[in-house]
Amino acid sequence: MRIMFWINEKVDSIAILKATGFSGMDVSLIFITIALVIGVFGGALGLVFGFGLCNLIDMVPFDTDALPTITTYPINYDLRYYVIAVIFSIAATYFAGYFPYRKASKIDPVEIIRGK
Amino acid sequence: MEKNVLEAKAISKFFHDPKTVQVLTDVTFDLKAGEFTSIIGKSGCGKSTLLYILSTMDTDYEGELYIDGEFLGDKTEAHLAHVRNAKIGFVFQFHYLLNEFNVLQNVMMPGLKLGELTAAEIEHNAYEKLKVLGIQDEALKKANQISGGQKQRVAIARALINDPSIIMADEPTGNLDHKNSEIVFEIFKELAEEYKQSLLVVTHDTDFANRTHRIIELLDGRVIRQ
Repeated sequence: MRIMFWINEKVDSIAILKATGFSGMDVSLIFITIALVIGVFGGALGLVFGFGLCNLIDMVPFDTDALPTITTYPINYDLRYYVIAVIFSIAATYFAGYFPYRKASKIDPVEIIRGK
Repeated sequence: MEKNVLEAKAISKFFHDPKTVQVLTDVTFDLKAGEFTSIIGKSGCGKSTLLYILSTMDTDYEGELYIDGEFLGDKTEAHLAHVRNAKIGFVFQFHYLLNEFNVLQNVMMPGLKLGELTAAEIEHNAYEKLKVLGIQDEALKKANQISGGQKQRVAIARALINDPSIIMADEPTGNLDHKNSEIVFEIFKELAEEYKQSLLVVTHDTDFANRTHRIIELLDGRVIRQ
């Protein structure tokens, strides 16, 4: 949603870019790049925070008679979950950027420039 | 004979919403290299509409358009974007700079898009253009930190960066006071006379138009004088 609002604020800039020679495809690439950068950085930040939080939880004492070998809260550090998390965050931002970027590529600079 | 930078042949345009209205009828003229031409007419006569067709941004029209001898009627959107980038410099009524960037970056933008020169060469050219327009001191300021008159000069510098075949301007002085309008006119005149730059300016300012080399007057979508 944020990206959607943000593109609405950027229609003037998109009109300028198109009028000065950027094609609809160029404009789309700019927005999809921004969305993916947000996805990658957001994903990486999430991983670091998630890993740190897991480490903390891992230290929490966890005593139960049913599982005599376990003394702290059990955590599964399987790499697969981290990969899934990254893919999910990038996919989510890509799709969050997809509809607005299609909109951006269709903006008619004439309408924006005359509309003022 | 000078070559034609722009030829319009029998251009007609209809608006279909809410009902079909013809806004341009058989507009035919050509512009020679180095000509400083203005298009005048009452508001609603179709002069801005014509300019947007000539600038390749509006492709919904009948008739033929040539820029630098190239027929543009059957070209793709990406190709037309390239034509705008390389051959047309656009100046709007409202400055239209990108506020996220500084003045120099705004001027360089179309040059970086064209990609024929290195960034350093484009930066050098951008400084040269700003110098010609007397605003090189503002180069590193953000676009929203300069005055309206300065913004319009920056927009002109941006229009010049790729050495276009033609500069098109839509009411370039419409939002400026008398002093800044005068500055913009003098810049255009200098570009036309010293640098042989072709210019096509849509204006309702008859005082401005009377001092250009040639006037094309529209009435109800038809050329009545040229």
